[in-house]
This record gives sequence, C-alpha cells and structure tokens, in this order.
Amino acid sequence: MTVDGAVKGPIREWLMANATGGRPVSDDQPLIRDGLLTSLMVVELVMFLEQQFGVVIDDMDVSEENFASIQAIAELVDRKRA
Amino acid sequence: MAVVREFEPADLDGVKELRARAFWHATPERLERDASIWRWLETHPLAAEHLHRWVLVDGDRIVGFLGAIPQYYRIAGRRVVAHAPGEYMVDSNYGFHAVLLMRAFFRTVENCVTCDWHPEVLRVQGWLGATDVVDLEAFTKPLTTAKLPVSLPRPVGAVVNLGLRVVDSILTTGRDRFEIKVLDDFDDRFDRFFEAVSSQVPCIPEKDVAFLRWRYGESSPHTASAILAALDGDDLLGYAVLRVTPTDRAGLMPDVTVLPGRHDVARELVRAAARYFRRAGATVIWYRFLASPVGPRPSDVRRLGFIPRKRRPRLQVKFADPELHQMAVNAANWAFSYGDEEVGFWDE
Repeated sequence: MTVDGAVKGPIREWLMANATGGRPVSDDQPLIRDGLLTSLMVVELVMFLEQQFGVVIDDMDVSEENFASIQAIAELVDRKRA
Repeated sequence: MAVVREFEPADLDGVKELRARAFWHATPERLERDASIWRWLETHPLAAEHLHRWVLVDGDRIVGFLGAIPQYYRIAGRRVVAHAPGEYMVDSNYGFHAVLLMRAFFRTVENCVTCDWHPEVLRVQGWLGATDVVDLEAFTKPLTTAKLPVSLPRPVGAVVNLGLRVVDSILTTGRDRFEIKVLDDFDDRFDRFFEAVSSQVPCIPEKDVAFLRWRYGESSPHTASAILAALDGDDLLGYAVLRVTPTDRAGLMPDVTVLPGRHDVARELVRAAARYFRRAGATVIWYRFLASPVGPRPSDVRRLGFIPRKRRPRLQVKFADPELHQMAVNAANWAFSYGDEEVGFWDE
C-alpha cells in the first residue's frame, strides 16, 4: 500500500522524540519486536495520531499488526481518513 | 505473536514464573504470598461468577497477566458489582501488549473502581475510559529510627528514639470522649453501622459483616491485629482495623470509618491506633485514605504527628450506567479506605 509521506513524517518525528532518543527509524523497523513501544507510549501515540491527523482510533485498532512499524501505522491512519 | 487469552488453571506455574521475573527483587516468601492472594480471592462470594483472569502468551510462554477482582459497591443506594484490575504484570519486552491485557479487562467488566499510583497504569486506564476521581491522602509516622532514610550512630539513635516517644506521647495522649474498645470480631453492630453510613454516603464499597470477616478475618492474608471500636453505649460510632506486618513491623490502618461528620471519633481512633502500634512494637505507621465525612480530617492526622507523603494513589472509576458514573466521579460522594479493595490486597 502506498502511503503519503506527509503521514509517515510526523509519525517518525514523534517516535524519534518519544521512543528512540533521537535515533532515526526506518519505515519498516519493527517497533514492537524491538521494544520501542511501551503501553504508555501506545496511548500517547494514539492521542498524537488523533490530534495530528484528525482521525479517531478505537481501542480495537490497537493491534500488533497496526502498530508493527511506521508503514503499518501510516496505513492505519490512511484507512481511518478514507 | 503474543496473544491475550483467558487464564486456565494449567497457567499457574507460568504465572508464578512471570511473577518471579516481574518482581525479581522479591523474596520467595513474598512471591508465594502474592500467589496465595489469588487462592484467597477465589473464596470471595462473587468469585465463581465474576473473577476473571487473562494471560498474555507468546508461544507456550506466559509473558503477561491481569486479573479482574470483583466487589460489591453501594452506589446511589443500588448494589452494583465493580471490578478492579489486579496484579497487572508484563515482561519488559512486551510493553506494547500490556495495553491489550487492559483492553480485555475493560471489554469484559461493566463497572470499574480502581486505585493505583503508577502513572503508566493510570494513563492506560484513563484512555480506556476510567475517569480520575481524586488522589488519596498518604501519611507516614515513624515510631522509631528504624525507618528513617539515614542510619544513625547508636547513641544518637537512642536519643532520637526517646525524643520520638516523648513527642508521640504528647501528641497521642488525650482523653477519649467516648469509649474505645478492642473487639475480637466484627459483629452485627457492623451491619447496622454500614447501613447508617451508606444511607448518607452515595458511593461506598459494601462493607457489611460478611465482607469485613472475609477481608480481615482469620482466613484472610491480612488478618486484623486489632479492631478498635468507638462506642456510645452499644452503638458503634466508628471503627479502625489495624494490622502490624510480620516482616518489617509496619503498622497499617487499612480501614478507619466513622459515622458521617464524626471527625472527632475518627481523630480519636487514629490517636488510639498510634498508641496501639507503639505498644505492639511497630517501627512506622502507614496510613492512606480518601478524605471524606466518614474519616479523619487530614489536618487532624498531621496534628497527631503524621507526615504527608508525596506518592499518593489515585481513585479512578468507570460505570456503564451514566447516572452512576456521574455520581461516582464526584470525590465528595465517596467513602473509601485503602484496604477496601484491590490496591490494599497486596500489602505485606
């Protein structure tokens, strides 16, 4: 799925500011497997996504597939905006 | 991929191993004690129908656990069951999945009353629909130098201990304005007392005799060291449940409840409790409670030599019925003691 870079950019910036200590994150880096997303960060990230992109993310959307990587998160946002 | 599923009896060993990893600093005795809490919880009258547990499993390895502990509450005169999340633990590599466990909790239970102090847990619970009500009051009162943050040379320690005893005796000696007795057990008066309190307090855990015996009786992991009752003739004006922990001799007051507005009774019960703990050889008193008409005023507790603590647990609620939820989010409607529910179940 092709996702607008304007979606991935803010997600990447948020992760670098809040999860990786400034280290860059590639689109397909496994965020959950690498332990970058804690439970608290998931909640903060969801709130960020809702505010940044004007979408509503239901708690059922919070799954390992949807938050596996920047690419997966961006695809979730795209689906929610559709 | 890790998945959440319902707990099965065969998971006990896996949960035990998870507990040992999550609380790596705990002694084997403490770990066994925490495991025993669940055996006690299974004896709760609501357990058969309402006690839920989930495990987070990656392959055949248990990497997370969460329980839902049921309890009766009296909200706006109605008896309702509400749950508290219990023993929330997840292996460090599965932080993301902690949300999935808590989601299973909120998808299953109708009502939730929970008290916690971990910001992460409070935040996740808040996101899943729980509303902040109020932070509980938290106090400590050192009775000896044993619990001071610095170690003192022996002669200095002896002088400080003497000073603590003198100051404490001045602060806690007073003439009781009513009779305070030590009771052996909770009796019928506690049923009448609870009905009198709950008729005036809209939101309260249901603490009738059956509950109090289950909570602090002989078969509880938190058997009361003493039950102080403030009496006017045969009428109960209030009571305090006291415990001295076996390992570090800490004095705990899990429940101090008085008739609404009788702050004078609450103050005298706390004063009597402090005297009891000193006689019982406690080194420190820990006291956490929600400031309300059925407990002591925080200012009175301070005057008795208790020191406020920064770390305070927060009460959060979620009720499916909007009217009940509206009632329960107002801190002024609550009577709540630290020992009343899950948060107090894990005290040593």
